[in-house]
Amino acid sequence: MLEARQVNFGYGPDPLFRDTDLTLAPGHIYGLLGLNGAGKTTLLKLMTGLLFPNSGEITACGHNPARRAPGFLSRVFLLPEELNVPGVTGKEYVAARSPFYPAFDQGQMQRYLREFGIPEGKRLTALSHGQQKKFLLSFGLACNASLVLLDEPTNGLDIPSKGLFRRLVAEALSDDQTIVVSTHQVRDVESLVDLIVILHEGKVLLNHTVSELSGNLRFSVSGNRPEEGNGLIYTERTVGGYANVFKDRGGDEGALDMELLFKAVIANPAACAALLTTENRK
Amino acid sequence: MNEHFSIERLWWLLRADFTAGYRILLTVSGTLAGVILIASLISFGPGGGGQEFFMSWFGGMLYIWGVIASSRAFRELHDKTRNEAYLLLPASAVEKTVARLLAVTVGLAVYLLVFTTVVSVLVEAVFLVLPGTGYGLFNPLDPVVWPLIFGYFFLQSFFFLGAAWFRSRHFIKTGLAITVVGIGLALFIVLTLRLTFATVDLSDLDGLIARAAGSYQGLFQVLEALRGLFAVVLPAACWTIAWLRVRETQVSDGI
Repeated sequence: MLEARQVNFGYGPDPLFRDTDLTLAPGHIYGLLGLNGAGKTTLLKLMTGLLFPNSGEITACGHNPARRAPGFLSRVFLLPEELNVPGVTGKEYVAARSPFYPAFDQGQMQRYLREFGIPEGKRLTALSHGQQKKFLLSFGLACNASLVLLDEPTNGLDIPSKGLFRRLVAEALSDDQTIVVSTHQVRDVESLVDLIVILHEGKVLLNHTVSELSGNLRFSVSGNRPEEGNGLIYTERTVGGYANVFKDRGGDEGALDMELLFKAVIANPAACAALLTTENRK
Repeated sequence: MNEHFSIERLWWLLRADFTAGYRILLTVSGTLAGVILIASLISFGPGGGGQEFFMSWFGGMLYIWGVIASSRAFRELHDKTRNEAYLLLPASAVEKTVARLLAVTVGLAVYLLVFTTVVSVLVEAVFLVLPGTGYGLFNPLDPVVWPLIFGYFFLQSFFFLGAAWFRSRHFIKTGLAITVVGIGLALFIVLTLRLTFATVDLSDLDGLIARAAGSYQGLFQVLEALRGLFAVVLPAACWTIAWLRVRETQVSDGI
């Protein structure tokens, strides 16, 4: 679905991505994580052709995104973090934009709007930020694009809508689609994503399935600080004790704590990378 | 799928632009219709009104509205909060450029011809009811219309390019650029001619030109043809550069 090879990019003299490689396969929902300034949004923009890499090659849906060919753009949808909707009604928006997306499904759109409780006849500028986001998300999912990129999609959503968002995105995914959710709100998407990509200092530190991670790592909370060794990768003080990440070659798949995993990978990238290389995987 | 140009996609773009802009169009049109009606009432008198009045309004609206609209033709392109949606709309850069170009050239000219005609009918009706005498209608097929429209197409091409080229303050920056280039060219030509014809007495310039036109008819015909070519090539070049600019634009914000 998407392949980035040896991509270099930077806004100024300091590079943001250095020989970055990334492969995204169809049929998955990826969680894209990274610190502030790690380049998550920039990566999404490189994937869609809104930015052009300084060098390297990106192929998405069989196209070079930088060419912004209509055949490519009609298979891609990006929900940006900052919204600026036009002053038209929902109906007008759909009537004007849906023809550009050959796989757009009006029935799906109606269902999503109904589930989110968004009035279609109201002007989009009159909707709240959360409602605007839900409207655009509904439109994006109804486009049935091959590559759906969601930048901080749960920001501004109320608590029931976050659950609804997870359900609708999971339902919308088809075998030939890739959905990428870039977020800081890891708890919001923990049960949604099945692959996790972590960006750090211009590199992809991690690109693994939740199943692989759960099988290789064990997350626990202890009253006392665990001793070094015994497979301890990361520990941090938390309410009521210590949250820990251990190597877990022999154990069963346990629950994945995405926030803790993220901290562990950022704090100890080499150890995590070594643990998760192909030969070391369980 | 044709990745470069499709009439269908062009139509969708025009329709999408119209959907987004028709409320503003109606507001501006309504305001202008009111202003024209009031102006016609003020200017009413013997010898006034009719075609001359409406033609001056048509020309004024075409140039002022048109130049402003051309300067704003790519308003989303450099707006950080809106350029993503515009650039990701599944249409090629050619289609996006042509859609905006058609809207601010042919579209606007035709709209203003129809609008001025409708307003002239409205004014005529008001005059028949109030003073009891007609004001005269606007004739959109008057041959005077064509030079006005072509002159506008020439001028707007600079502002259209400015809209794509400059990141902000498109109208002012384009105006300044035209002024600076115009002054520079004028100085260059004056200096070149003065140096070339240093020994010629230029006190009777009109007579000199008339004599030259008589002596060098062929040269003057070539210059006239070049002027015509210039009037076509320059706008085409501006529109082409605007397209290249749209094609190469990247969003500038954020990590």
